[in-house]
Amino acid sequence: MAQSISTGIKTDQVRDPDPEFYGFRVRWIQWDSPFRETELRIGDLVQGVDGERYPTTQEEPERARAIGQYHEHVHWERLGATDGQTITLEIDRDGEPLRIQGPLRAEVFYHDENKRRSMGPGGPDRIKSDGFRGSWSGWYEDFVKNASRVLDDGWNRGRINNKKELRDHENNRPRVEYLLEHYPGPFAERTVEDWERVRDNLVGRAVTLTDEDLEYRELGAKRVAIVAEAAKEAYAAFMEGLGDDVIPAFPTIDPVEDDRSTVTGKIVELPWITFRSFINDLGNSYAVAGSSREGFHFIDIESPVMDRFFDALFRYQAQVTPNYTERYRFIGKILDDPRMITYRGRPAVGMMLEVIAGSAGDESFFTDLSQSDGKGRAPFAGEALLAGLSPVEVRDDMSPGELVEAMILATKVANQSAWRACFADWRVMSGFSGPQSVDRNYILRDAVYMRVWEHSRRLVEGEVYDARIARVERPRVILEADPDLDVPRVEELKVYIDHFGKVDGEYRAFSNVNVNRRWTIQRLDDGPWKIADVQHL
Amino acid sequence: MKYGARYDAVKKILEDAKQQERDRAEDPSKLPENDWKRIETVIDSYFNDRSKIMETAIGMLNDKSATADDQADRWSEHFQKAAENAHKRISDLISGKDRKTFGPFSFYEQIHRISVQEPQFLSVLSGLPLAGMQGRINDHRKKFEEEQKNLRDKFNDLKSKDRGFDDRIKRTVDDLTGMYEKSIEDVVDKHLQVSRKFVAWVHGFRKADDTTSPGTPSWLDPLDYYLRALDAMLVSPKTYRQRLDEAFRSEGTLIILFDKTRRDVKKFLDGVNLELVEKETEDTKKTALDQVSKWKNPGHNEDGKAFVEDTAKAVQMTLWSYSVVFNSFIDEFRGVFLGPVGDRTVADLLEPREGEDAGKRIKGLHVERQLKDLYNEARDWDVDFDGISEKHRAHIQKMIHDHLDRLAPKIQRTGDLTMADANAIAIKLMKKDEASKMKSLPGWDD
Repeated sequence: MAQSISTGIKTDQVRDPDPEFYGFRVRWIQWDSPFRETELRIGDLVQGVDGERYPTTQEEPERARAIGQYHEHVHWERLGATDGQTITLEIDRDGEPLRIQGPLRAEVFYHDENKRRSMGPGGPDRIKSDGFRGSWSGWYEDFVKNASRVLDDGWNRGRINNKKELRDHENNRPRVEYLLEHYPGPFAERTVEDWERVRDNLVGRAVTLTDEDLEYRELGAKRVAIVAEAAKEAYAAFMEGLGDDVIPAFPTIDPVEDDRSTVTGKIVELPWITFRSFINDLGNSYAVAGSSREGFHFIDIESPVMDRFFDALFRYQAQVTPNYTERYRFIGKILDDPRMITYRGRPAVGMMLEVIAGSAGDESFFTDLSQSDGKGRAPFAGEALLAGLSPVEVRDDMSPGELVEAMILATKVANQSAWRACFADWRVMSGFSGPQSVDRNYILRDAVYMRVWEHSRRLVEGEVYDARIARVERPRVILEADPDLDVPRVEELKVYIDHFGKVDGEYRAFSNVNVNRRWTIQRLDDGPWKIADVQHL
Repeated sequence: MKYGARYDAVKKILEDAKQQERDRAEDPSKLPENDWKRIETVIDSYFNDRSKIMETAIGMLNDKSATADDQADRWSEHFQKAAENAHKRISDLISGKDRKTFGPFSFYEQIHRISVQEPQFLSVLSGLPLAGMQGRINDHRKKFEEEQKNLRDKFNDLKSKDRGFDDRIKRTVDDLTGMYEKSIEDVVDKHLQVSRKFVAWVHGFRKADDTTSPGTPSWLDPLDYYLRALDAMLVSPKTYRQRLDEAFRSEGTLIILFDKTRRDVKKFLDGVNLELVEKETEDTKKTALDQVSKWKNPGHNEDGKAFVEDTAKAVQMTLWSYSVVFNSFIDEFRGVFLGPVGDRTVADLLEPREGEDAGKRIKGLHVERQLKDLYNEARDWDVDFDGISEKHRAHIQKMIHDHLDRLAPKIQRTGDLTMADANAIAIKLMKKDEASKMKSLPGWDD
């Protein structure tokens, strides 16, 4: 019987009408393939052999005879190739063309000393199990399948959970150690090498994160503490400065029954209120404190002084933390301005207050509204103590990698407007297999962006300590311009990022269902690159 | 088929394309007529479905509860999904075919163009502002319904509070008039005592001779009480006056609240009223018509315009519902919170007629006149000096003069001040100033 000649490589066809991207991706190199000794790597794209490129229109049966496909040996048979004959593979590795030479090899069947079929010279017997679950051949087949999945760009092509995969992979250690101990030889050595490669891959690359890298997390911790301490001191000093002008907020006068002049000009500190106390009456917005039993105080939320309060609070959210308990406490001067508004379905009469200071959250925020920072804004207590943050810039001339880095940084420093500017305001529509088109009127609801933003923020304040670019693919044109149909030219590429978490005191890359590694970046007619998928970090 | 202008145009374009290919083909039998038929069947079905999609969108505008954001989002998602599906459905008809092999007027090229143009058409519809406008009208209607109830409650609350004050005023006036009446009784009683004792004292002189001391006239005692009674008439009203002042002050605050509510209503209606909403709706329709008038493809403009007109009709129904609520709001509050304050509102809030009645009661006490009568009576005491010596006569006359001298200013002052007070209270009770102020409060649509 004629020997079966092949390269010992296993590939998957990559269908693409563009010859630059068409070929057969290496998903495994058999342990005894001579190409193990060459530069060939899992993930390389074989685009031709011995100077002949594979055409994109390749159909069966020619396709099945390509390198790494199930009828490869038929191709060599037809050519009369021999064992040891050198061939040259035309390779594309991330856009870089390579030529890798290696010998063909006749298929070898191994036997042990008992002349039984074995996995390699020196064993183990293919159908034995040596006390482990499943035969060696069955186990090895699964082992190769999993290893191939992980090493063949598994992190980017499949949504693996590396921690879980690592645990499962470690379960193979006893069998692999047994193999090396009891069946030493090239098969065992190669298997151990492959096992360790997979393990190193699943452990995740390590990275050193400096204090500067982690400073953004200090936003949520140290900065909160600094500002909270400053807020406490400022509040105490402010209240002391008010002296005898302060009267109890409740019970308060009935502005109709009682003499308003007894309280006009006096200062009150209202109790904590939430958004439930914010109401709208005839188009005006008020905050209400009090009850029908103890009387009411009202604040005009749309007044200029309240604009200053909320402006200060928004700066606090941007520079310190976006998370705060949504409750407010206002200090105000009673005005000679009785009002009747509807509160909880009933008319309520109370006095208007002019707010002079306010707190928010768990007393972590305080602002004296009589103060100004020179830009017409009321500073919040502790604001001057915060170091200036790097501004996040989203420029039109940014490369895809720079854009994704800007998106990551904006997420870390809670700059929502910069984050939003990273996303496209169009979408490319695809048929099942037909031509594509562009929808330039595509609008997603603000609620969708908010949900994605908040998810991303929770990640960077939680399990994600950093995110960095892992790979940027080559751009390709996915839609040619058609001015007659008002269709722009669309280029697209993928950017892959690593997310880094803390494992046993080290920062290592990780992957799970909670994070998105793959980001689709597009641009129209050579315009700015933008992120096409609205997804969380 | 509704909105079928583009469909008609497409049918003609495809028919022309097929004919051109037939005319140019070397071997017409090799033309893919079966494939063309298959594709045209799908195109027919697509346009039917497209018509239904557009009609379904108009149906969404019957929702009277949806807010502006809800309607805009639903509308947008409806058409964006339709655009995506349209692209998939039509582009897949020519999947696997290389566009470079299509001639510029070939059948497949036309299908490709339709696969791009139809999603563009639907995408523009997704951005039409009329759905958001309809939702906004819903929002306005709900707001007016809510504020109508709130204003009704507020007005009732104001009236109820005012009734409370008027009750207090009435009680105070009752107490005040009662006080005056009792005081005058007291004064009259003391006056009579003084008269009797005076007469007895004078009579005593008939028995005395020049050496007898006239003694301290015993009629001086009631005179003191008399004078003190007059003093009390000056002092006591102060507490009642204070009570009235407090009640008037409270009522004054009610007018302030009423004024501020009217201003809030004015500001509210300046921001949103039927005329403004009608104009905004008309402008939105114009914007939508403009958006659907820019295609170069035959049929799309007609379909777009017909759709906008139908959408605008649906929005008109919502506008009508809003106008009913708006007009009900205006009708209920005209003369109260809108426009010149009506007499009925003034009566409801101030009850000036009752005040007038109370004022008349106070003035009707005629305190000044009664006191003057008493004084004149004292002045006209007809003393019979028969049997009384010259010396004692002079003494008696001096005593009378002294008495009158003490009495007169007090009577005058008490009368004047009491009347002044009574007049002032009466005027205040009539609330003419308040009524006038209330009627001149600025409001919406004056």
